[in-house]
Amino acid sequence: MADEALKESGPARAPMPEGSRAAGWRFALGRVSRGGKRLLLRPLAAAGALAILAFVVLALTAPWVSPYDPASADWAQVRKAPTAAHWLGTDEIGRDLLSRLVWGARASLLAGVCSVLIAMALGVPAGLLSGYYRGWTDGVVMRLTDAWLSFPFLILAVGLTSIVGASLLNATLAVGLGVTPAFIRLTRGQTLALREEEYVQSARAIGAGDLRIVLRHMLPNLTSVLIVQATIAIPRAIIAESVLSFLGLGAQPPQASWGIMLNAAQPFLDQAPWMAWYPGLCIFLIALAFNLAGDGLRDALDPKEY
Amino acid sequence: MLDYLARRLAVSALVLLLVSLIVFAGLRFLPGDPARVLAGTEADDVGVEAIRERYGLGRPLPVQYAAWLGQVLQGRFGESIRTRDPVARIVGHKLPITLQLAALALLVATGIGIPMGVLSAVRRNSVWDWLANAVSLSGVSIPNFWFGMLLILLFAVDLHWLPASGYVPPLEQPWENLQRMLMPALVLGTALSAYLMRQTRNSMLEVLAQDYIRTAYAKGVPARRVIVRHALRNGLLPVITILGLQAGDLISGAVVTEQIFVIPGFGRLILEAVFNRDYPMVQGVVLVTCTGYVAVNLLVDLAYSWANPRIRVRGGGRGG
Repeated sequence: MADEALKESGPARAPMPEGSRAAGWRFALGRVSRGGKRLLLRPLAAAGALAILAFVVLALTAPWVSPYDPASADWAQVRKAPTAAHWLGTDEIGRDLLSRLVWGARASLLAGVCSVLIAMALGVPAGLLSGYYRGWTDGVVMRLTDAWLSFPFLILAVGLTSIVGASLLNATLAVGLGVTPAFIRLTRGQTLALREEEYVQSARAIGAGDLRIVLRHMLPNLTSVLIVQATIAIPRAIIAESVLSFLGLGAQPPQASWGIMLNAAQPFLDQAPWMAWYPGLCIFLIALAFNLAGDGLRDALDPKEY
Repeated sequence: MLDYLARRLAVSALVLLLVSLIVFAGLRFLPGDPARVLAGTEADDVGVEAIRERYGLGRPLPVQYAAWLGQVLQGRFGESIRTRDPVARIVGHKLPITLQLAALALLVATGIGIPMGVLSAVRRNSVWDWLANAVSLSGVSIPNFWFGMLLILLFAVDLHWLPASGYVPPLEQPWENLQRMLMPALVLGTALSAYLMRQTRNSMLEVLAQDYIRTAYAKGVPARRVIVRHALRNGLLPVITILGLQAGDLISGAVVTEQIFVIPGFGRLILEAVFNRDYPMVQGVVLVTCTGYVAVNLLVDLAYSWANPRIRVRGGGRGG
C-alpha cells in the first residue's frame, strides 16, 4: 500500500521549476533549446536554418567576400552579362552585381530583424498590459490596435514616409509599426489565457506583485510562441522592406539593397534581365529559409507534443 | 442581430474616428508650418497666408480638427497641391481602375487558393497535399513584384504573347484591356492565394474531423457529396473572414502591381502624391483606403454572423 502511494505521488514530486528565482526563465529556455534540437531533426527546417546562417555569415563578412566595391561605377562595364570577371554581371552604371548582392544581404537582414524587434518591443508590453489588466486598459489598447490595423500596411508605410522622409531606417520603422498589431494581439491572447493558470493564481495568492507575475511567471511562458511568431514575421518584414525600397520609399541609392537593385533593373528588363534575376532570387530564398525554419519551429515548440 | 449590428457599427465608427485623428495629426507632425506645406513649395508668402486663412490654420488644433472632419464627412478632402483639382474627384477617377484589378485578382486568388486548399485537405498527406504546400510556401516567400518582373520577362520579352505594361479602359477596348490586365491580376491574385490556400486547408481539416462528417460517411453518402454538401459549406465560412482581412493586402499589393505594370490607378496615385509632397492628396487617399477597408471588414463580419448564428448569439466578433 505504502509503495503504491509513493508511486502515485511520484510524478507530482518531479522537480517542479517553481520557487527558485529564475525558474520560469530557465524552464522556458530549456523548452526553447529542446525545440531547437527537435528543429534540426526535420530536414527541411534544418535546411532553412542553415540557409539563414549562410545569409547571416554573408552579410557579416560582406566587406571581405564581395569581389568589388558595391558603389564604384565602371562606365566601361555598363550592363554586362555575367562574365568571369563579374560573375553575376554588372548594373546600369557598371557596378558589380555580386558585390551589391552581398552588401544587400546586410540591408535586408538588418531591416527584417530590426523591424521585428521594434514590433516586439512595442507589441509585447502593450499586449501584456492589455491582457493582464483587462478592463478599460484592454479596451483602449484594442481599439487603438483596430485603428492601426485599418491602415493597410503599404498605406501606413506611405503615410509615414510622406511625414518622416524615405530612408532605410524609416522603412524599418514603418515595417516594424506594421507588424506590431500582430504581436499585440498574440501577446494579449496568450496573456488572457495564462492569467487563469494555477501557477499565476498561486503567485498572486502568495503576494507577488503585478510586475513580478508578468515578468517571472507569464513572459517566460510566452517565449516560444513569440519566437515562432518572430520567425514567421521576419520573412514578411524582409519582403516588405524590399517592396518599400523598390518603390523608392525605403533605402536610397547608391546604398546596396535588393529592393533598389530590382528597381534599377525594371527599365532594362529586356536588355539586361540578369539585373532582375538575382536580387529577387535572394529575397525569395531568404524568405523561404525563414518560412521553412518557422514552420519547423512551430511544430517543434508546439506544447501539444509534450 | 440588431444589437450585434449596432455594436459592430459603433466600433467601426470609433475606429474610423481614431484613423481620422491619426491622419489629421500626421500633417501636423511635419516639420515646419502646415500652411506652407499645404501651399506647396512654389507658393510665395501671400499664397501661404491665403492657405492659412482658407483652412483656418491659425485656429486652435481641436477647432481645426472639427472643421476638417466636417469637411471630410461631406466628401471634401481638399485640393491637390499640384493640379488644384479636388482630391475626391481624382480619387473617383482612379478608383475604378484599381477596383477592376482587385476584382480580377480576387477571382484568380479564390480560383487557385480554395480548390488547392480543399484538395490538399481532402487528400491529406498525399502527393497533392505536399505539392499544394510547396506551392503555397513558395507563394508566401516570393516577393510578388519580382514575380511580376519574371512574368514580364517570360510572356512579354521572350514569348511576345502579352503586352508588358500599360492600361486601356475596359469599356473602349475590352479585349485589349483583359490582355493587359491578365499579368497584373495573376501577380496580385497569386500573392493572396497562398494564404488563402493555407486557411482553406486548415479550416477544411477541422471540419472533416467533425462527427457529422463521419455520420454522413457512415450512412453511405457518396464522398463527393459529403465534401461538397457537408464539409465545404462549413469549411469555407472562416475563409470569408480571411478574404476580408486580405482586402488590406489587396490594396498594398495593388500599389506595387500598378507600379510594375504601369497602370494609372489608385496605387500609382498614392505614390505620386507622396513623391510630389501632395499632402491633401495623401490624406484623402489614406482616409478613403482605410474607410473602404473598415467597411469591407464590417460587411464581411455581418455576412459571417448572418451565415453563422453562433456568432450572432454570443455577440463576439472582431473589431476593425
